[in-house]
This record gives sequence, structure tokens and C-alpha cells, in this order.
Amino acid sequence: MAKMTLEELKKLRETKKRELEKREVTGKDIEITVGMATCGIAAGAKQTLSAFLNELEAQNLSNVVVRQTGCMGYCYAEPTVEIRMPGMPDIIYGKVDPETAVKIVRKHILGKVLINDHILDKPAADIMKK
Amino acid sequence: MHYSIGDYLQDIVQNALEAGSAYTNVEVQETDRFLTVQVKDTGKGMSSEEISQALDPYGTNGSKHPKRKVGLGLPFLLQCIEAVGGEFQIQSEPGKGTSVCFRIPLAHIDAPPLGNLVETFRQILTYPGTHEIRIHRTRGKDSYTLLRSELKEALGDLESAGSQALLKEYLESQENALEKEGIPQIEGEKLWQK
Repeated sequence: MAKMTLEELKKLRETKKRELEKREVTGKDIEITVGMATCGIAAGAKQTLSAFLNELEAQNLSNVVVRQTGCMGYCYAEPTVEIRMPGMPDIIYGKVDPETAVKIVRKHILGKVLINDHILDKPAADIMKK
Repeated sequence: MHYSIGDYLQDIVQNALEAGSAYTNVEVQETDRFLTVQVKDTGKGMSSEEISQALDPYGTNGSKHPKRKVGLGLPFLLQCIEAVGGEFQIQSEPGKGTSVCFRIPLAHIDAPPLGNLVETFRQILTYPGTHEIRIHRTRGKDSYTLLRSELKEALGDLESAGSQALLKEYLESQENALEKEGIPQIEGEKLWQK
């Protein structure tokens, strides 16, 4: 592979952007945050983050925001991942290995079904109000 | 301990960013004998007492996690350096920043694998914030430089999955253009003597 220049990168982005505009964008308000402190890294959070990005690419969900953060305070259950999206409660999933990351994209984000075995934290207070 | 050298590198960069570094310089130099890594930041820096605390696995200032009694980032690295007979340096000045440098003899049987550097660089470059990061990667005589601001300008944002996919493609092209065999050892020695 020839070494890509920044100009080529810009052009590639423009091409992809045009492709994206052609189809309906579904992932706009979806945020995935992966805990990436010492505990997360030691438990494989780097592989988890890569798995999310690869699966999002495979599913053509390019407008999903994928962020990294420090320790969420659940070192015993790393890698931890927070998912925020419309129509679903805010959830922190624990012990998210690459396989679970793929499951989260397919079931939680696309299928709108919770992955019960990995739910770590209660849904946010706003949806608990009755 | 962490699994790969990339994991240690990412942990140190995360320390730098959490210390409020506006400009972080990362050097990764690979020769036939050594892998040398240097992370220099312009964060809040540490006093000599704070450095000792950061190197002690049972030392933590408690600011991040008030009830926690351990801080394992740098101690993991020290443990690895000790196991492989590598070298480690840390210099810091309060208010000015910190420099962490380590060198690993690659032929040592316990030397950790380099790991996936493309993924490591992508993850380092996409930490949220307005900071600048410069990564200079050398392998033998070949090298490339990455500047977070330039990549952000080219990609628009660094947080969307789409941008990160393009960034991976770009980083792979840089990494694959490096020479594959017969690495001379002069370059890595230079960084260590700085």
C-alpha cells in the first residue's frame, strides 16, 4: 500500500461523506463510551474499542460517536462501556469483550434489545421516574 | 501487567492527558535490538514525592478514586522493565510537565509484543479534547509523523466511527510503508541518549 498523504485523506473523507449523504443516517445520536484507564486497558478495552469500530463499519453506522474515557469506577467489571441512544435507557455494560461489543451493536443499537447478562448499572434516573 | 507495549504506551499517554497536557509528544523508535518509547507532556507535572507515589503500586493521591488504595499504571511498566532488563526514566517539574522514557530489549524472552500500533495510535489520537498530540514513529531508517490537529482538520471530527475508520486506513498506510527487515540500530540509540 502506498503511503497516503493528508490531501488524499481529505479527498477520501469527501467521497465517503457524499456516499453517506445518499442514504438515511441512523446512528446520529448514538454515543458509545469505552473506559480506557489502566484497569480497562489491562482487561482488553483496546480490543473492545476496535471491535466496536469494526462492527460499526461492517454495519455501515459511521455517524455513531465512539469516545474513550478514563476509569468509570467499575474496575472489577472491565472493560466497561456506556451506551446512550434515543429510544433506549442509558446503560453501562460490564465485561464487554470483543464478542459482546459485536452483540451490543447488533442487539442493543440495531435491535433495541438489552444484553441482560452484561448490564452493570441501573438505567439513568430520568427513565426511573414514573 | 499489561499485555503489549502499545498498552503501556496508551496508559502513559492517558496519564499525560489527565494531567492536562496541551501538547504531548510521543516517540516510538524500533531498531533491531530495542524498542524505545518517550512520552513528553506539558501537563501539571509532579514533585519528587509525587513521582515516588506514582511509581509505588500502593501509592495514590486519592483524587480520582477517593476510596482506592492502589495506582497501577506506572508500576505495571516498572515491573515489565525489571523483568526484561530494560531501562526507565521519568523526569517531571511541577507546572511544566513530565517526560517518561523506557527502552525494552526486544530479544528478551519476556519482552512484551509490540501489539497493534495502528490501533494504539488511533486510540491515542482520538481521546476527546482540544489538546495537540504529535506521534513520531521510527523503524530503522524509515519514519512518519502524525499530528492530531492535522488529522482533525482532514477528517473534520475524530469521534465519529466513520472518521475513525478513515483514520485507521491512513495509519495502516503509514505503518505499512515502513521497512520490514534489516533494521539498523542507530536511531533508537539516539533517542535514549537525548
